[in-house]
Amino acid sequence: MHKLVAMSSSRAIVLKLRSQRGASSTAEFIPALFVLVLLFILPMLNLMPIVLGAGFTYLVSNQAATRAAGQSSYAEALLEANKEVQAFNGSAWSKLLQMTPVGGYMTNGFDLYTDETLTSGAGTTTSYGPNTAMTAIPNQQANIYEYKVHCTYSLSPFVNLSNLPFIGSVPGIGQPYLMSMNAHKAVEIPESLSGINNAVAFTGGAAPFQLDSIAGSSVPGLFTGGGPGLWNRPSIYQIAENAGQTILDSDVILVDARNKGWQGTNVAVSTGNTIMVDYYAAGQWSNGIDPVTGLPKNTDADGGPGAAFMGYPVGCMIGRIDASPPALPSYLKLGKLVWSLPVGNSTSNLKMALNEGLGPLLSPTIGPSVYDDNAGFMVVRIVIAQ
Amino acid sequence: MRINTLNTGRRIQSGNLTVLTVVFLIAIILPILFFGLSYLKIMASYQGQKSAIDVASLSVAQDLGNIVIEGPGVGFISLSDFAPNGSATLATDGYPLTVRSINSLLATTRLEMILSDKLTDPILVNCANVDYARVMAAKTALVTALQAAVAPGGTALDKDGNIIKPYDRALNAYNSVNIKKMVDGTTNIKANSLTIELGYVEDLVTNMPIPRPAVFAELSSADQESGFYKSGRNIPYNGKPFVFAAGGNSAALVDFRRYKTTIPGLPYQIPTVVCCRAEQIYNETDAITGSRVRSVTATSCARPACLVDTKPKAGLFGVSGGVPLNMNPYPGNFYQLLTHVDLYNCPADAVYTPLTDDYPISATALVAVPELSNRKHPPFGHLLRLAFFDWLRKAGPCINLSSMFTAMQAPADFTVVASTTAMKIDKNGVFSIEAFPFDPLKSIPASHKQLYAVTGGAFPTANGAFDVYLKDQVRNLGRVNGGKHGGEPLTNIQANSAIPGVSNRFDENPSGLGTAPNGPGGTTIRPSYTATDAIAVELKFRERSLPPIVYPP
Repeated sequence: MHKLVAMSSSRAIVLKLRSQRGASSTAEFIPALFVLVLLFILPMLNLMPIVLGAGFTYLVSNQAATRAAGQSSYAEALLEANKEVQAFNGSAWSKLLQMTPVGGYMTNGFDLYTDETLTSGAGTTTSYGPNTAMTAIPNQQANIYEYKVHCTYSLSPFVNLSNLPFIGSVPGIGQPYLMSMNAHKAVEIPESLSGINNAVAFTGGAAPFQLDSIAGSSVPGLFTGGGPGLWNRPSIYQIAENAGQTILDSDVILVDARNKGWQGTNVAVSTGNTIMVDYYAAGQWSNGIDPVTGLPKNTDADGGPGAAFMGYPVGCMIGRIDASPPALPSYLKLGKLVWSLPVGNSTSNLKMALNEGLGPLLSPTIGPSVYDDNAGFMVVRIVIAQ
Repeated sequence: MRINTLNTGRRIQSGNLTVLTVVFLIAIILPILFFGLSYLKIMASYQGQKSAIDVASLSVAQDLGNIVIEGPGVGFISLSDFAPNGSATLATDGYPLTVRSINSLLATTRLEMILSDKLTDPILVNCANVDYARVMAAKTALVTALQAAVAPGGTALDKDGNIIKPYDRALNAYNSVNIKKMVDGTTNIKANSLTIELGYVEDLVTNMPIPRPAVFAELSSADQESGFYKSGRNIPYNGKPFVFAAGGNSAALVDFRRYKTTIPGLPYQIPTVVCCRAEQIYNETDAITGSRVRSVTATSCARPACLVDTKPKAGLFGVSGGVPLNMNPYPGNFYQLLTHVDLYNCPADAVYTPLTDDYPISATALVAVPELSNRKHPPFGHLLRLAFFDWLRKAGPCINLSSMFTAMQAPADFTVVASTTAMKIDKNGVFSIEAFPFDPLKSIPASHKQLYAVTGGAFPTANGAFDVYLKDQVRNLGRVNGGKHGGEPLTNIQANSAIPGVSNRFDENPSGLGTAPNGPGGTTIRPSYTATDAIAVELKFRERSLPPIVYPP
């Protein structure tokens, strides 16, 4: 409402008068505001810290789990997780949000568990703890391992509304709200899990076996003797090389005792070459049956005590080279032989046989021969050196 | 009174204080505002410059991780592991070769030394020492290449043969950031002021795992973090120094205030942390000071990306053809085979290497083995251990030693003639025993420039004797030393059409050997990288029957 007031000057002044309208509305507004604040705004104000508190509870759980996951022992994991939680508990945020740790490790509001989950099948999870290491040895092939940090805090209402009717007993509004969160992190060093005081050792592991158990294996590349073997002289090459000789050719062949002819080898010999032979240590052949005992006349490559052929023991290994006319046979006794005889060509192949009577007289091409009752074969290593 | 004043319309005489206050405030506030504005501009331009130098250092760090060189005796090396799919790493078989990171080589060699000691085997120890010398030479070559690449005008190649110009790219990256946004005037990088150095930030954690289980790591707790080696510190083993290069799964900025060009006391340097510095010239004008020139130097450091190959394929360590039943004692597992006295003490009748292609396509030559006192006829058992060592080396640093010990003592059936009983290693470094069908017509050839050994007549039977062959396809690594396949396992063997004949000599009948197919070139990944049956080492037993009776003469 406006009212014009006459003044001494010609100018008119407009005066504002208080409106009488709405007086009742204003009178209603105050109690309405009071109710609104008490029943809506203040409870909402109390709910906001709960939301923040939830976030911080998870944050501290996650931080503690992350810190624990990288430690080299369960004890260290527990210690580091505790440090992380303690740091938060003493922080301004914790005070502002009135977060009080509930129970847990050293009443700091957290517990550390070790979760073991089967990677196959149903993926069953077994939880070890709280705050004690698992006693079993971790099996990384079958399981995955995680640290679980379980944090529990009590959040007091921002504004104490505990005396209000109806809402005074609601947790978070009138009463403290109990908040729990879990966070998981994969254990980075699963070996650290077994035993609370067993920090991972980074040294001192032992193999369950050794490879140097074979005598004479100490010098790489060399036969240093000592160990039993299949051959009479396994260091045959080394002997030649140590004597300053060069290996020209070699082979390992099988010479059949029943062979009534010269058996070819694949090695070539020249005048002045050294022929070295070695035999399988347990190698034996027989040059017939002993008429007295009825048993095979077993010998090694050096031959037996029987009658000699060509001046060499019967049953021994003899060799010759291709030549024209044929060269005389040589006694290939275990050891080495320097070939001093001339050869047919610049190089000629070595041939070998059991010494029992080669030639047309005792071993004709067709018909029976003295080799027919022989048995066995000899495994021969031939090394040609110079 | 007020009404009167209003009515008269005259200027009020009071209020000088107001003017004074306004002037005073202007005198104080304006300089502060100008200073603030100027400071804001300086800070904003510095932030722009910092952003530019960060981008530059990250760009160099990314480039460093992609540089690939061919290391002496170790194949292709880099700061990162790469799968065999680089078109510039093609071996002559038409398939690419793997690229190993220097950290991987160092960690592998360190593991080799630890393993050799734990097994107290002088042959493995010797092999590890030879490998150490090779890796040190490779490290020197890589550091030289990295230093040369980051110099102005420096270049290098990636695995696909693309030219990498870290300096130029860094300069472009720097210049591409708009530093001018907050500058009144012009601003440019001072000519030649961009410097790129390689150095260290102490105690950065690498992504290279320590030996597993950790009890075999043989280091102090401070040398590792969360099971990974730390960089820039000496982590020796048996008197041999090991220094790992800084690097992570991706290029990342690091605190430039902690940057050092060298770390005193290190036995050797592998500087990989990039430090970029650049001086920016600002030609500015403003209302108060007029034109002025100022320069600001900004620094940024980044660690390179050092990718770790999570599935290095070592191939199989296989035993084929059936072990002679009269071996005494009969080997029931790989450990017993490796330590079998009779097999061990057989002399190697020949240690070959195929000369120009795989055997039997190519002829072979007798070779001496440097790790075995340069002998041409060492004990066969020494060669077998050498091959075992080579296979483990191929598997890299992630093998689980406990798993290996377990697998070596696990029962293995070597009796089946038509089967290859093999040890294999999965991507987690876990060992297992598996049997694969063995086709005598698909017996693997001997790889070009690799090791092929034989001992003849080792185990006589009633009707003949067993010859034993060892094919180590992963002995010599890389395109130069490793030949056609570069020291990679073989797979997809094509059968030979001929039926193997019989001869009375120790040589393997060439018609019984298959052939390894050639690749198409380009970036097609090497089949052995994905195959589960590729063979790295084959120990093959072949029974040779008695030759037919011959008649005179």
